Amino acid sequence: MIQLTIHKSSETARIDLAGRFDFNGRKLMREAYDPILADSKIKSIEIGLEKVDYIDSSALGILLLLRERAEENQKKVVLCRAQGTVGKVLAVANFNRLFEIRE
Amino acid sequence: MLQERPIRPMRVLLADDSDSARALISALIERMGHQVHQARDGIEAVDMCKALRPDVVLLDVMMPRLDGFGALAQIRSMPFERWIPVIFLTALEGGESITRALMEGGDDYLQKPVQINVLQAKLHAIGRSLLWQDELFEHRAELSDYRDRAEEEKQFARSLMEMLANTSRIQDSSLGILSVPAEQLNGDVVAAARTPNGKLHVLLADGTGHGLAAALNVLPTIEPFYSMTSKGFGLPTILAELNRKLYTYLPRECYVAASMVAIDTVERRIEVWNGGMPDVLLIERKSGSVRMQPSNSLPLGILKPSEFDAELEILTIEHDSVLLLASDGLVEALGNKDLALGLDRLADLVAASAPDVDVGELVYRIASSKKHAIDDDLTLLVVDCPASAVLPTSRQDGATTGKPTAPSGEWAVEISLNALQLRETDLVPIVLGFVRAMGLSEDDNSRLFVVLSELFNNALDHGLLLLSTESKDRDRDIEQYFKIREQRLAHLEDGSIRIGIRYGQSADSRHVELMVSDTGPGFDISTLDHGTELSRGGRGLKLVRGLCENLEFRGTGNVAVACLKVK
Repeated sequence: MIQLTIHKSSETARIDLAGRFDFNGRKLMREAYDPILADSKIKSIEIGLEKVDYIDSSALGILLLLRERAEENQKKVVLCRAQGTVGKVLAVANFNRLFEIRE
Repeated sequence: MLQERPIRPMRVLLADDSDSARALISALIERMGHQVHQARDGIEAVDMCKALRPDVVLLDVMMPRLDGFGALAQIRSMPFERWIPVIFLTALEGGESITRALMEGGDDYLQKPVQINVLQAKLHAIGRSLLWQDELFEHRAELSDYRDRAEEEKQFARSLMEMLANTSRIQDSSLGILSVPAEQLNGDVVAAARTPNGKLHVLLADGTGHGLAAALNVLPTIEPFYSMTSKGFGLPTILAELNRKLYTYLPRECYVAASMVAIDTVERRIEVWNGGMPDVLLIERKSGSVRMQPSNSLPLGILKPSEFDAELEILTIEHDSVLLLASDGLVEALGNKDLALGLDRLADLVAASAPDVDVGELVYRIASSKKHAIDDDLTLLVVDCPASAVLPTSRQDGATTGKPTAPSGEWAVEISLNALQLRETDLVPIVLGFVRAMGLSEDDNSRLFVVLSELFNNALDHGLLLLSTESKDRDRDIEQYFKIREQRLAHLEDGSIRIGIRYGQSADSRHVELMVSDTGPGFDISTLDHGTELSRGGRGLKLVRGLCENLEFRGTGNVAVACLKVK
């Protein structure tokens, strides 16, 4: 199960994820990002992937949904510090064409 | 107080050998709003319990024929689905029998003579427990209903999938399909079909998630793939349509990773599109050398139709090769997490085997033996890619069309395409529409189609785009060739191509004359006889010559006229 920590600064919110990121993370993620999307001061949502050791296609779907919701709310989503396999999965899916990807 | 409605009305079985005690207790219980059935000894109690299935049983300990403990043992041994609470009625002085009553499986006890408030409190407590039990049973029934329904839906989806993704529909001798589903229902979909001019289109698609959900996501791709391929559309047009369909129908968080290839054994050329799938591999049979085409596009269903633009990569078939398309997990299944090592192993295997070995079978054997290492669906497609040109045959889908009825008399059609149309129109379906309209046999259709598309490509590539064929005949340069072609086509401003088809009949033969002319500068016709014809068409023209009775160039070499005898 995914674990999740939220940090907020003035214009940026960071959701740090840890563990296995799959379909089961859907509810937790939504609960985490819904209030952030509603916060008009936030311009950028960073998803910290450093401690994620597994990511599957459903999790990529969750990110796609977040991206769409963020765009509707004039915010951007940045995927940060993906490691190893997680980075490879993002690369195979060519997510760099949709998201800002940060080391 | 006794008249209050109970929280749960119960059917109470009361067993007592004393007529007065029975009369008193049942009167009390009935006034509390419950229903009472009376038994006079243990044996009657057991029988009535079996027949009535009461909610609760009150058992006197001391009874003739069979005492309370004996009756309880028999009641407990009956296969009731529900828990039936049993309350023992004990004498006031019977401390020992109370202990025994509870030890033997009784749920509670009541001391005689029975006090109303104690009786009511105990029945109330049991009523509460029964309410919980009722609720539990309701949920259990709902759950099992739900499970049955889910199972039914899964069955339905599976048969739907099997019908749509029916691999028996794919009867192509150069294609092998192997699949290991992760769950009962495989989320991978395989589709393969030939275009009218014999190109083999293959699609491998893998939906978001596993099982049913994944399979449903992929469904919208199957029909458009088959219908557009049979109409002769090219990969970019088909992919754009698949993306549009998926973008329209799928929820935003769902998408379909896919790889799609078009194999042209005449031009020895493979077009590859890979959106989110593992590398597509082209392995040379003899040397085992591997060329990889990694994913370079977003999966289908993510980009808006207006943003989608399929970028194809071109691979050339230099020596006899096999093309491998795999869904997730092939490299892992090959026993090594490290991509390079997995591929090396595969390449060694292929190189070490006989030239006619079934490469798919080889890979599959290793992959499925390591299946425990992966938890995703695994599908493997192996396509045979011979280096010697194979003429396309015209069989499609195994469908048999009725006897063609050739139009009578003579007729002719002509179309002209300007630069804009040449840039933006997928011409193959138009050309095919022409050919089909003639109502000839499948065999003649196929020949006409090949000749017409070759002459057309010739006019476009060499007449208007001024591409030289010298580079095209050297396989290593062919990728470069198609890159330049694409660039020049995108910037084509002037020029047009005219296509004319004339059908004629005489007493003993029928023929079709195809004319393709371009507004380009043409070439020196006088050089034709010296074999330099090849410089303007390469393999393509050689092929055309073989398929028609006569081929000649007119004008400045910018008009090609081919004549074919038809049945």
